[in-house]
Amino acid sequence: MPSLVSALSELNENLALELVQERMLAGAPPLDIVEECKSGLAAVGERYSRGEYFLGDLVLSAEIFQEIMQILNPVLMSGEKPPAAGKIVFGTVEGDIHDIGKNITISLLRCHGFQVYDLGVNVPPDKFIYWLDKTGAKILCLSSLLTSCFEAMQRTVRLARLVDQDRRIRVLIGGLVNERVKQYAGADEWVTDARRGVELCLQWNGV
Amino acid sequence: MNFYDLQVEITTEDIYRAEGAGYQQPPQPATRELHRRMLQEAQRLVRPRGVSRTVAVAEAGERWIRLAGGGVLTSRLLARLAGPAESLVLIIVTLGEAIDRRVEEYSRHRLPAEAYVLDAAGSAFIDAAGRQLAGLITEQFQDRGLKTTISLGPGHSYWPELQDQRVIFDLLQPADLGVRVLASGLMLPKKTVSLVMGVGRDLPESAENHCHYCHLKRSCPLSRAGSGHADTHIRHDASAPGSGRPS
Repeated sequence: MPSLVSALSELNENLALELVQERMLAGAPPLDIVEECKSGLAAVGERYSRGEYFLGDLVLSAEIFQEIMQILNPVLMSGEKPPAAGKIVFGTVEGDIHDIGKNITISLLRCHGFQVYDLGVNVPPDKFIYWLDKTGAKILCLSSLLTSCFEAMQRTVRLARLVDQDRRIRVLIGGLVNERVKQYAGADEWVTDARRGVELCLQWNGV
Repeated sequence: MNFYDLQVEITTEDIYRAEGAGYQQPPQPATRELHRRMLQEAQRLVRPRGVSRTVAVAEAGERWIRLAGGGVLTSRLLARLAGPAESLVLIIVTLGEAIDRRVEEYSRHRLPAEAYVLDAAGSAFIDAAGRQLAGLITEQFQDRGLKTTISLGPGHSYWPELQDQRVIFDLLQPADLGVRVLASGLMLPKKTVSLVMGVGRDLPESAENHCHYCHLKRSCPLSRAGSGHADTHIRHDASAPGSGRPS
């Protein structure tokens, strides 16, 4: 009998949804189903790390997981909820309008339980700060594909540090960035890989 | 000013390449189906069109070229390769807004896989369209006994000044194609490229294509600097799919 883990790992959406329905009808605790799905996602991640899967597969698995969660959410709402991961404020910095990488990373973060506040593209520094304050998020993710926007990244991080003197907020930058850009911007870490970004956020979140 | 309607064809393999996905084994059926579906959708959405204009070179320095009329383009590589040129041919190619809108719709509806693959299809289309038009224009100059340099574009590491986009934009006035430029120098629709080639009789030698000069040549999925892909150097790009025609 096929398992939910392997259905997700093989990106078989129909089978995965079918198995979730079967498990629910059989009275399986919804949190157990969520855990199985997470194991499936982890298997996808392993294939990605081995170079068997690529970003498209990773995102496809996240989409299947989201569909499963739509089925499970009504049941979860009425009972025990999965432990929530942290809050994240995420956006493409001022001057840049690229958002595919940002959107992919956000969808993967949501799969891991993060509550992500997506501010969109061309986001001015003060808007990031407003949302950090409003939500109490401890992770700020900034994205840009343009060298001309590194300065906006730097302004955003400086402003965040100014209002966060205890340095409780961790800043992750992504896109066309590297160690030098991280240092210039004053960020804590940099990534060019969505999955690595998720791993760092999980690490920062103490997971 | 010349306007072009282009007929561009790509395959799912081109989309995988634009994603940097080098599968050793056939992808999963769901991945294949997603790419097949997004290719079909992209084919319906894109409208590859271009505009070109040839402008005389007035003066060239080590890091810049001044065009007749006063516009200055500031790339050391451009100055080295096209400084000796008699003129520059400026090109803008776009796929139109429809594909951008659809990608945004998919993102808004939390369908990131569709958004990602459709966006990659757009990248493959605009890459092919740019090379096709550059190849076509090169052939036209060759017919007149003139050579062209490889095509270069603002925004790459060898030409970081994105504001030069405005110089190209002002000379081409691509509003008829629905192209506009933002304060940052970015062009919209997103799947739009600008290209510049030197035209003359005595031009310096160069690498096969602009990817060889780009810092991203090892990481960019569309890079043609490596040996992994068939060389489609624009000066000899007779094999580019489809054909362009001045309209």
